[in-house]
Amino acid sequence: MPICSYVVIPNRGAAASVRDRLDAMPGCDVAVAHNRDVLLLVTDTPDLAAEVELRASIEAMDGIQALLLAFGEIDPDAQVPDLLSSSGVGSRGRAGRGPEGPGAGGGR
Amino acid sequence: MSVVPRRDFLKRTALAAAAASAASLVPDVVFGEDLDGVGLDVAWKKTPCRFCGVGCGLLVGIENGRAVAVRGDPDSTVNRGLACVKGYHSVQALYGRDRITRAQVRRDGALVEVPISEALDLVARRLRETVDAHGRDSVAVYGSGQWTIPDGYVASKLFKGAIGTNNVEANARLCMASAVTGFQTTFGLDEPMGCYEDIDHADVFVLWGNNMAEMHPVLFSRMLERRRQQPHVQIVDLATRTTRTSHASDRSLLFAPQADLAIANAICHEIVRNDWVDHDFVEHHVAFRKGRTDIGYGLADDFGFTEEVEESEWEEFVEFLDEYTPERASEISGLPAADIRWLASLYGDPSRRVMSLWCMGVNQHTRGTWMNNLIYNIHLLAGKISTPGNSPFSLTGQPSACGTVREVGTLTHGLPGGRVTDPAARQRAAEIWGVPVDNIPAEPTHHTMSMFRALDRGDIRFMWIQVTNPMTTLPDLRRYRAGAEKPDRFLVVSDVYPTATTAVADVVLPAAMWIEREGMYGNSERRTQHFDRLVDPPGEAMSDTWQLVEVARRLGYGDLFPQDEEGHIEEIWNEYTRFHDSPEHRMAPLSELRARPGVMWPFVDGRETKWRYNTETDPAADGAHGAYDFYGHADHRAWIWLRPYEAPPEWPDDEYPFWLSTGRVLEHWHSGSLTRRIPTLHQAVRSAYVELHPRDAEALGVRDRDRVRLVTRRGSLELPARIDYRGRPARGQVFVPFFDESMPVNELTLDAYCPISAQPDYKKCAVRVERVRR
Repeated sequence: MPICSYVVIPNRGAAASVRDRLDAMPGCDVAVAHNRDVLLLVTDTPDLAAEVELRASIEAMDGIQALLLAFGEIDPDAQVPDLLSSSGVGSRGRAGRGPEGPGAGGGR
Repeated sequence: MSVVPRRDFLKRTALAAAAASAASLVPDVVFGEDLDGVGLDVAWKKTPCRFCGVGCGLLVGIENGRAVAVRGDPDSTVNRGLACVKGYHSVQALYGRDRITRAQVRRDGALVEVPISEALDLVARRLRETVDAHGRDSVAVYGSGQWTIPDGYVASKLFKGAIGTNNVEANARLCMASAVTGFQTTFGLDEPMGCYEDIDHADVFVLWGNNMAEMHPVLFSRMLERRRQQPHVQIVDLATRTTRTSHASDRSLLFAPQADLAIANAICHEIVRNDWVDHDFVEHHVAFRKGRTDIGYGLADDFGFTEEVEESEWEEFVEFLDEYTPERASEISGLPAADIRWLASLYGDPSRRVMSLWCMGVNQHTRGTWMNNLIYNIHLLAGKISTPGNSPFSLTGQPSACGTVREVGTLTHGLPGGRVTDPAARQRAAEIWGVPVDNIPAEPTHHTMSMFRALDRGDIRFMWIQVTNPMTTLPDLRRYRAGAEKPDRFLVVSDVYPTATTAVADVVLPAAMWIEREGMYGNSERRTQHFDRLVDPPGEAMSDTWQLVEVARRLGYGDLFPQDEEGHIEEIWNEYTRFHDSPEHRMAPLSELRARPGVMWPFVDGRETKWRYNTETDPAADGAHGAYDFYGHADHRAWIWLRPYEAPPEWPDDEYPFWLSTGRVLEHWHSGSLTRRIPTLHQAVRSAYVELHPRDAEALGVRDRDRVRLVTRRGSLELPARIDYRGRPARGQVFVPFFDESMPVNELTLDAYCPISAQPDYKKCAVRVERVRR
């Protein structure tokens, strides 16, 4: 159940149109700056796939110059990367060494 | 306070974070909603941020024993309620699913879990056996600018005072050593004379190779705010790569790698030629020195360097500058001579207050000490120093590089407040520590690169690594990883998650992280920041401080350390601050630290010192020396150094035609072992990449996201190319972030270092770029 927020920088003259289209998208809440063409977007989606899909659709939208991630709360159990298996670091370890050190048993 | 459901609270926090991010991009932006993120029924507790050296004050929301929310501390003068994306997500780093919660020892090649008492027994036994078999200099401890002050203090006391070896180093050698030697050679004392309040007074900001928008975003937003309020303010980005900082600056000036030496000297040349010198200041407060030249790069194991300081004088300095005309500097740097003259005019204009800021671009440099000296030269010539807004400001990268490594002295040559080579400093340490003075060796042993070379050779057999991941961050990594993996080496690693370094460990100790224990950090502006234990550590995780105490006890040194875990941080703080009990460096008592978001030293008569060496603001400065007293040197003067341009050790050539530079990105901290476990930050930048200039990419037939192979004399690495993604390198240069241990760019980097500071240069080596055809 991710909740994320973004800073949205629309193209010149496109702020109102971008705001209206974002407002109409499910799971999107928009706040508009009073004095600048800057929008804040908070998204509330059922899972990461939906968040990624929503983000892609926003990025593809006409009139957006930049979409910058500011915050995200994503279920860590589902999304934390398995860093060691992806990097191969875990397999690089020190095979053959034991706590007693050289010459003291273990599979040297 | 009204109570809101947790999900609504998260949305409110998300909105507040977005508003803070927007404010860092567009400082005057105004939103109508209440965006402060409060409302949940949680207990808000203060702490400094766990990440960079800015030292933002945070308020962490605690609910049912768990850290659930973060907001910027409005009472912190550092960040005034702001936080960056890493700060907002910082507490999530406590709760990654692969958190190390139990000790592990290697048996038959695999790490297996054991009770922590058993692991500590083994650590103590192997340490003792190694000393007995190979001597006390065969054991070492390697820590971090992320050590708390008590961690570093206890490590130094155990290894230097009790065991009797100066094999104590920290990863701050890799990021701050040139800043230290720069300060010490120019002023005789370490750390900045100014403070962040300088930002509120400066008219010009010159950023020397410093992508502050990503690396120090909260300070950068303060700078943008200063410019919004005072439109005459200018921000100049002087760098080798176009970044987010460049886009937000008034001028972006690109120069060739290593050419900052020539540019700085040319600025001095122009200040002298146009008689923009503050002659009164120079006459009364400056002396001139020169040292050795053609000083090498530290590439050989037997490399040694000893500085030979000679007195110089104004006339010799002016003659030295003769060759550094803007035209000559332009030839070296590629920066137009007119731009160099313009930069000099900013520094030379007596009506403008100028702040220079730098970090890794200047420090990770084979002439890093010289570059620090040269920036000070500019400010000293113009008399723009130690007054509000006139400030050469060396930023730090880590939360306690200053507090722990520089102030405690956790480097081979250091002691708290002194050097091992100084008999008086050793005597004082022996008295405070309660050890015989002969225990503390009078000579430094190994700086970091030398220490890992000694591990490779076998001169060091036992190393205890805490809070850092050298098997990702050392340059020329393959050599040092192979050294660490040799069968008769014994590595102990204290950390919170599995890393490339725990993967080569014999013992892994589960560490309590940040707010899971009490501690202090010291930030870039001499500000010490205390944090309480706010949540319990998981499993058998134990603070680095207490791990060291437990091993000390097993070695028979228990009487030198606190006996009871309850209150041990206060006991350590009270002992440590005896080292700094002078007007030059007095630290605040723990009661003050507990009450405030942070306190700057020197803290004298209940007051912080904002500008050192200024006799109106620094209680240690003696008015008998005039308006300024640079009391770090016996002559009470700051020293201008004659430091020439010298080429780097490796240049692009036909075989390796590009420059390779490395660094960080906003979302990730160092080797990524924390931030890559924060889902949002990981999703934002999932893997490393190489930035190419669009025309170089076109010439190579490479499109955005194509895979390319980088090849240096030390190794090769495949990774995706990015074109105009985060930054744009100049033509003939590439940039790779180092946070991704699955794409370890430090297998390519060169382990050349500044001979004075022994800090490696991660910003310059020669590389070939090959398109990978599938």
